[in-house]
Amino acid sequence: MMVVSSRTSRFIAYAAMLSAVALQPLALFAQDPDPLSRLDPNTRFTVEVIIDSARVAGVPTRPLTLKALEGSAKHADNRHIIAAVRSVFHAELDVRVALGSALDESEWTSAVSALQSGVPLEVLSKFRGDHAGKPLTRALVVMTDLIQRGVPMSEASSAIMQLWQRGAEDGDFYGLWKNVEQDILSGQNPGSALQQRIREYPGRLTPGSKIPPASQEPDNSSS
Amino acid sequence: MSEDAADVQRVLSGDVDAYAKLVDRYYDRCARFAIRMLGNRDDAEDALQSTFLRAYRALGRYQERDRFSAWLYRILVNQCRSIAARRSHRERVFVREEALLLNAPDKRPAWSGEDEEFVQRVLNELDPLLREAFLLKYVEELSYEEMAALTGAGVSALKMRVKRACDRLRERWERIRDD
Amino acid sequence: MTEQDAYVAWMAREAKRPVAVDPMAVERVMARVRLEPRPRRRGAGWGWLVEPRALPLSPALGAALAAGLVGIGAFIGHMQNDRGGQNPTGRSPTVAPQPPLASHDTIIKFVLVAPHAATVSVVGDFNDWDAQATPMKRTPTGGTWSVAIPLRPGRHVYAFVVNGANGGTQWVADPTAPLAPEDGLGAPNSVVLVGGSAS
Repeated sequence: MMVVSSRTSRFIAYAAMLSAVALQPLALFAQDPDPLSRLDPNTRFTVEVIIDSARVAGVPTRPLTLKALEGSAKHADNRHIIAAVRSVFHAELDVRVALGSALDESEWTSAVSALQSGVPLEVLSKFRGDHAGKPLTRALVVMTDLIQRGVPMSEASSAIMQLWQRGAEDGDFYGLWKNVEQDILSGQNPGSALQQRIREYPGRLTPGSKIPPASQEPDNSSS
Repeated sequence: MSEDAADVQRVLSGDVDAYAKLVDRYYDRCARFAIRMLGNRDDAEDALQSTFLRAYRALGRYQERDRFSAWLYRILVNQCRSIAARRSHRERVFVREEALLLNAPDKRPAWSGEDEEFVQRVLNELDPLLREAFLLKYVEELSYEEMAALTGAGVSALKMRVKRACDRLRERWERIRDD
Repeated sequence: MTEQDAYVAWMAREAKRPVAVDPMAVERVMARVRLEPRPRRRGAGWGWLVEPRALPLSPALGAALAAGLVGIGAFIGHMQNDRGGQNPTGRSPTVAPQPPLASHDTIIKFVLVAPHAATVSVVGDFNDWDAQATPMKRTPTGGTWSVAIPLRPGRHVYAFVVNGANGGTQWVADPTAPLAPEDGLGAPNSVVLVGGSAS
């Protein structure tokens, strides 16, 4: 379906120009057939052992490879690379306990991040169950970010869980995140920023309802 | 207009070096809080760097009716909290990895001066929220109202935290005196 | 005053002693501050619209905003997510969603303001963390760097690598994007969600 916002119609002329520019990067990501060759042989050996264990355990292996490559790109020492890869593997095992294994890759990685930011397994497992159509990835990404920004874990998780259970949509989570982030940036205490923003929600969030947009955000003109 | 507000004006008019004056004016005091709060200089420097950087980015939002120092402190307290949260996770992961694979020696922050090391160790024993309240009250000598504005906690909660911090220290004295 | 109270008072007095500060610390702060775009007074009218800045964009409603305000993006077809990046230390990004090229991929434009950088690239799981794979281009007018890349629907982790003129390299998370947790590899990452995933 083609969607053209009235606001963008004035700029439609740019589209052709942009497509030309944008086509170039498509060639950028020819996959390296053996990306792990960037690791030193000993590190590679250990990483491959961990990846093998993950394969046997039936949890995703791609996030482990990526974690190793990230470590190599950041010139982390070998010990830290192995520790980081192992930490993702263990977190994946925990995620499976908490959420089961019927997850897409984004759900796996966002759940791993949530655990790594300190969310306990029992809290994560509350997101288990029928989440068809519910934005699990967005909820977990926002929860993790809030904790990273200093919102106490229990406050962040209970706020996000509440929204999630009430059927908040992707845009709701994003709006909440953006508002809290702006408040923290202007010096507010992270916990109080979340508490204040969450109060802006209607008592019962129904599907399709929105939280008030961030101050610089315009009305939703497209969806 | 205060000296701080005048410097802020100069920065907003394009004089970046005026910001150096603000940093210079508050760095030592902020450093003391960050070091006492976080217990080591590396984390403290991270907190200080990001505090001054965030303050710079948000300078356009600073209102002259606020005290610059209080505004800056609010950012500092947030930064210390978020670095402490990250650190506790890092240490937890580290310990778990240690147990599994590695036997690296425990790294403790190096301190110069016996008393400083001792005081820091005692402060580290306090729960972070109690430590924060104790430092703001007795080291930074803020009023409870100022602390409330800074931390977002209520005055009575803060009074309770300070009292509990003092209680912990008193208990500690009881223990070492009896040893 | 009891013994115990004296102990508390002594502790406070000791904690109040000034700490030794590295004389270069202020310089280090200022070195980073100088890489920043100049802060602007809030509510200074529409002047900021012509400069890159943080645009709060939600997946669905961001596109029109980016296109309308910044004038570098238009969108056609399936609306997707978008995301901007920025300077080690600055609010900046302009983000412009663009026409999807493949049935599932979405073009995401990363933008970073880093006036003093010699080169900048975006690195993440989408390019196997290859720091050479996706260099960003400096705009003719100055310190803004950008690159547009196709991303599959889902969650992507990324960071910017900023190489200074003096040869130093810095990994920088995107302060306008959600953060991924720090995991011992030394530099934090950001997260972009591209629409259309199962979740």
